[in-house]
Amino acid sequence: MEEVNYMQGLIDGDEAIVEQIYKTFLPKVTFWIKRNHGSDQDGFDVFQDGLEALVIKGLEKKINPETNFTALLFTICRNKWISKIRLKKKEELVRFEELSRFSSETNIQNVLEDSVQEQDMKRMLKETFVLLSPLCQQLIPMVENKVPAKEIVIDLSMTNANAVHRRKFACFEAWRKRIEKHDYYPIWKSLRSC
Amino acid sequence: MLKEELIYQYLDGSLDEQSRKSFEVSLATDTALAEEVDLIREMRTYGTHREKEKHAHQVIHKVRENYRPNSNTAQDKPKASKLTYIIVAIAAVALLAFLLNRLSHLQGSDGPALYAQYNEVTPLSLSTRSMEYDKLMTAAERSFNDKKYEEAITSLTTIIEQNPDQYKAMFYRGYAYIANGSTVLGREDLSSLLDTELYKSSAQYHIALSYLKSDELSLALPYLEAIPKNSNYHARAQEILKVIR
Repeated sequence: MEEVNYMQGLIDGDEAIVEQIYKTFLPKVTFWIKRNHGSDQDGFDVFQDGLEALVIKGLEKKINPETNFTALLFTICRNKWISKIRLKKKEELVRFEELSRFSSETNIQNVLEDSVQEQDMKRMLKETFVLLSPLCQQLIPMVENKVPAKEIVIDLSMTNANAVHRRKFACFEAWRKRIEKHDYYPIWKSLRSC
Repeated sequence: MLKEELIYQYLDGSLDEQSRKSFEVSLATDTALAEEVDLIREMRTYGTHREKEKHAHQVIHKVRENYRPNSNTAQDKPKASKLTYIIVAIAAVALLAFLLNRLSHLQGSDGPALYAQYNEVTPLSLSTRSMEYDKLMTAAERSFNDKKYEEAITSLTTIIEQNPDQYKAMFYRGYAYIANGSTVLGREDLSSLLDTELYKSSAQYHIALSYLKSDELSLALPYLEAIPKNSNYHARAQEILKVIR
């Protein structure tokens, strides 16, 4: 039960639970990273990256709520650290054995790995979304989270529900045009047609 | 019905059975339509999660400050004598002076050092624009100008929530995020200003600096190159370009 609360609290941005996660797990992750040629700062950075990645996975519902949170967190942090030091060409120095048992226990490795295409798609969506007008940036998440049109009218000072409906399509259209100009868009199209 | 509306209703599962079947027949033969459906599905998923993701990330960034290595609150610190600290501090100052001196001659510079050299911003001045927000804006100004970025971010966020068109607040929050180590959030704020006439060059310049800070020099290039000649940032951008090329 406690494990489920960690994941939900992290996704909900519950400050008390995030605090608890830092207090409980950061020293352990840092300890492992320091044993594998990292520093306190590396542990701190990897831990934050790991938590942020877990939020995204949790929101995408790619994680089974029953999965052991400790195993998830340690596996994702381990993967991130290995990727980082691979960049530094030090992969042979990593001691894999300490944390490998978590991933073999829960078979969560695949769940945590985004393909390069998925990462590029997310980057394209993110980079183009922030170019939209502030109104569109507020409106799209509201309509997609099924906020009633009446509330949107009040919150965004719009005239009526019809305006919300029209504006929603205009915002998506504007977003799509941005996407079509993004450097990854032709690559995505060609990958799709393969 | 518009094609977009049809796609939305199909994705929502709200088409009646006959319309759905007919749509699926089109989908099987029309590759452009299938592509559009896939893209809109991805966009909608991103739109659904964006605010929650942003909020969760902001909380992580807030909490992590209590656990930053060398902060007093969380992690064990190595014990050292006062003399050791003094020696280390003197050495650090000497090293910094040496690095700055090298940078001033534009020799062997790297991203973070360039960031340190070129990262400056005029003091924040938001108050007296509106009586309603005046107190909040004054607090934001004070925190920002005192380099208390965490506090400044909190105040600026409230200002932006109340007035999403407060581009100045958005710019300074972006700067504060980057200065405070939350580079991704900072870049997001600054990117949202790339469409504005007034803040476009400032945003380009500081996004570029954020990439220098993270030592991703190649990613800084397009932003620096895009800064137009009539911008106040043009000369500095050109200096940086000379170094990193």
